[in-house]
Amino acid sequence: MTNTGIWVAILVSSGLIFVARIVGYNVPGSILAKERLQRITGLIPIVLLSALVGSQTMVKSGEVVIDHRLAGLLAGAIALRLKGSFLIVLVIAGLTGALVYNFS
Amino acid sequence: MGVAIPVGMYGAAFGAAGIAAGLSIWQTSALSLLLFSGASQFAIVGVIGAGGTVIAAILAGVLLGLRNGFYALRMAPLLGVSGVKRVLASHITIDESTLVALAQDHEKVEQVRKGFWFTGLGVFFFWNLFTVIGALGASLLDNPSKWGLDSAVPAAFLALLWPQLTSRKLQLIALLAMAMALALSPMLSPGLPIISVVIIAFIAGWNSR
Repeated sequence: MTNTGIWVAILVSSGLIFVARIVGYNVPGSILAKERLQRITGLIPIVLLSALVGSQTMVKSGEVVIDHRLAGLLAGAIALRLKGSFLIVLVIAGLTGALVYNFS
Repeated sequence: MGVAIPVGMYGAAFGAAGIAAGLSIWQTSALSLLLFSGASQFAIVGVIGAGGTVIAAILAGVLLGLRNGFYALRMAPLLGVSGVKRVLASHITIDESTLVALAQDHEKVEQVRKGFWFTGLGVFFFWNLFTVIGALGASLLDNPSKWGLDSAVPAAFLALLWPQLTSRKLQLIALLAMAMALALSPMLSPGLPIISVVIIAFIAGWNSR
């Protein structure tokens, strides 16, 4: 993406999120309080974050690969399972990934 | 105040992720200042880092940030703000401020409002401060892989996702979305496989069971 493209992405998405928030403060709650809509929008963060976990861990230039990032993620998952804090999870994932990258 | 340290760490992680994805320090900070919604910002730099298009980056960011609009709906009657204060309130309507406000006794409107403003403004300050620190720190590193940065970023997403997977059904949905994004990656241009999983949210959320 070009530098201009990055700025466009930043400004347009910031503007749209701003609009979403302002609309929320200015419409009667009943309009968007449809149960189905709430269920779907509740699931959207879950599916998008899952897709991001997958692609940030295992995709490299359009190919699915297994490398040091997966080792880091698995270590991070173990830390999460053991109820590690956000910082601990990141440090463990980062350290594991770096170790595998540098020594393999 | 207890929320400041995790927010700071997360902000630093975002700052570093922005640099790792190829954004400048200014661009990374602009996202924290103007968009101010963690998962959404991570998604945008994620798509940019993967070589996605402008549209794909915007779509991913907006889809993840839309929930702030729903928080706004929830907060509007409780805050009772108008004019400039409403604009300010809407910009700091995020996961943390909404959750802290809603955790207060709803009968005590003063407490609800205090929780919202205190948390929202506090998170805004620390989030932006640490975005700069993380971005500066990461821009000193030569190769993000060598320092584990590219392993820490997906772990940050996983840490955001983890507490939301409260049932078997949700775990299954998460696995499906991950598998779909991976399967589509060789076929679609970067960013699109991530956005395409929204279809899973529609299918799974259409009926209540």
